[in-house]
Amino acid sequence: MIIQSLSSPQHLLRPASRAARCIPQLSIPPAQRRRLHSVPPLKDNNALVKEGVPGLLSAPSFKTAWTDYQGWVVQKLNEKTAGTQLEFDDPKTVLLKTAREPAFAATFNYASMAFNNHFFFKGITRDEQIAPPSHTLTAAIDLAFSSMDTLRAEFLATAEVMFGPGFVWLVEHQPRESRAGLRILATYLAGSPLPGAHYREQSQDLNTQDPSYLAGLSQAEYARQTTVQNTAGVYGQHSTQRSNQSKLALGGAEVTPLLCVNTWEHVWLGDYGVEGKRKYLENWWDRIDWSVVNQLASVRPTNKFMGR
Amino acid sequence: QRFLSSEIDSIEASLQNSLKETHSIEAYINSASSVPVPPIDPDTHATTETSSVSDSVARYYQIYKEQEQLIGKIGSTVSPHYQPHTLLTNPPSPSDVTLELLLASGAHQGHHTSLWNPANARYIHGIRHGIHVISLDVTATHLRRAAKVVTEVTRRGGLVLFVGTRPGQDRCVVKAAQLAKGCHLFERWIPGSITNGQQILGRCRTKVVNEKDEEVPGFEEQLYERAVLKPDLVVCLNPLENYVLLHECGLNNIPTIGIIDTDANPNWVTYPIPANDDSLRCAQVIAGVLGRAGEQGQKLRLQAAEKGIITYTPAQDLKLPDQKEAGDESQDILEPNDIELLEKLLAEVKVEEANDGKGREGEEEQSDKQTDEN
Repeated sequence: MIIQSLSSPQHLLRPASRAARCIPQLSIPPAQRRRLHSVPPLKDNNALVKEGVPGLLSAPSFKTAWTDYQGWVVQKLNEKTAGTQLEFDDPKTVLLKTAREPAFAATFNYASMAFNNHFFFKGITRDEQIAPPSHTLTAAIDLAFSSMDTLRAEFLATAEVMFGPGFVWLVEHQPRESRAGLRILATYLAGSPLPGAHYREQSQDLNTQDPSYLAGLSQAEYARQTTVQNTAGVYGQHSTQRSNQSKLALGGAEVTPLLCVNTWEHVWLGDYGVEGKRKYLENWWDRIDWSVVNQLASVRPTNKFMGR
Repeated sequence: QRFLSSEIDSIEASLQNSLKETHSIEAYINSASSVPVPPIDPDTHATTETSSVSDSVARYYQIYKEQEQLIGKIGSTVSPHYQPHTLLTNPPSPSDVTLELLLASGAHQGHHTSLWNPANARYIHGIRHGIHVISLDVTATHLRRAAKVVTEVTRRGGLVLFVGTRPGQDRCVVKAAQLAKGCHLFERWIPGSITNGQQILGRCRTKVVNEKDEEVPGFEEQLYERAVLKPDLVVCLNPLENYVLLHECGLNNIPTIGIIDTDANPNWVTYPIPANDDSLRCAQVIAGVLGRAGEQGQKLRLQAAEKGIITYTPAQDLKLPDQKEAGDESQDILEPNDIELLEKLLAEVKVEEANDGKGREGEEEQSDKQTDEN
């Protein structure tokens, strides 16, 4: 991902124009103030608001999980970004720009939650007759997980075991050397699966990490001591050529999110109760919109780019 | 000397030998190992390793772009807002001109009342904080009229020159000229480019094109003797700095369009557009609108050409190359095989001439366009 390096966090907070500081601001009532970000419409929006997702979320639950929550997250995003450089950017752009800045953790959280929540609701369908996954996708699933049932079992187990709120993603991993494959990725709280925001992937619950495993070293130092730092020869496995090739090219996109489930409690607590997480996840699996997943999985490199 | 040259020769020969050997081994190594050996450039004798990196860069960029299409806008709907680059990449058309757009672009802001030119009193709405405020409805009216003029001139195959010499106006002027298939100028106007055109622009290449804008070869000798082209319409974004250009246009009966601020003289141009010439955004909006108007005119002209209708008066003094060789000077230029088509064309031409209030005489039938390298 092409990441713009922000030299200092302060410049993101400066107002967009000097004139705004010179001329006294008129007091505009909140209802009339222009809102830059607003809740995006979903497919079958009216039916969703009226009836929820039959078999998964009731109408009041849907209202809490989408209408109220997304509205709140978008409003907070507006408040955080209004008058700054980020005010006109999409939530995805905002989260990528603020992923490395601890001073903007709140802005990142709201942008990331807006993105993740919308991604989750885009992947749900109200239709009983669900289109099956495409052949390419089924083949990729069979290759990575040996069958659709295994994928389901693995996915739901990961989501069930996650202690606390977060999202579980099905991603397509496209590294340079090895074969592209599907993986399951869990992100806690407002973590993002996007490669440009890998600083805030938040894929690990630190309670399950053993600090003694790192032998008292920091993560960076441990990584330095465990990975090969030098090269040998010109051609071969450990050559300079290989190490050059393994560097990610500019604009590289190694991970594509395909599907996600929202395991935040406010989504399923109303309908399923504190012990109903498993039931919620099973119901969600039956409501996946595979046409959306097919479309996202169909991004493939061809040789037609730039006239080659 | 002979000794040195023979040494160099032998070094050269041995280098060539080693290169040949490397080339012959390359193919063998490439087939044997999984890591491809990079080819050696014969001129620099260096390996060309960059190609594999750039290939993968292109591939990953393409994936990134496709992903942006699918997941870039997820999260919220961003309300429409001002994006400066869109004025250059996708300029507004005459139908997009609204008072809100002009107000947002700052077209209403004139200069201090002490700098006022009273000739443009009719365009002024009032005064605020000592600054004259231009009436935006007047601006919109004049802008639409100017757009109509540009459309009609380009529809009749006219050459429009877009001029904007202030810093930052170059991109919008170039874009407008591209849309209207005209010429642009963003550096200083060289005085005499119209009145003394033969000297200043005499070396520019001219070409003869047919009604579908396809170049017709064979007119080189005739073009060599032909006079230099002059624009048929000039659009100026800062008339205060381009007085000489506008004066030359006036001497040569070339109509002009210009952005007239409250300190400018509206008599300097034929079709004034009362607006703020100091705002780059305002200049970009106006240049964009006039460029789009020119694009519409060109489209109408080419559509008519597809049907066989020529929207301008043909030139009388160009001879087709083969007819010239035959020595037949009294023949007319175009002899269509179909008599009905000829009659229809004549009828169309007569209709055009009758309706043509500001008709230009001396337009070439196979009109020649001059590349203005000012």
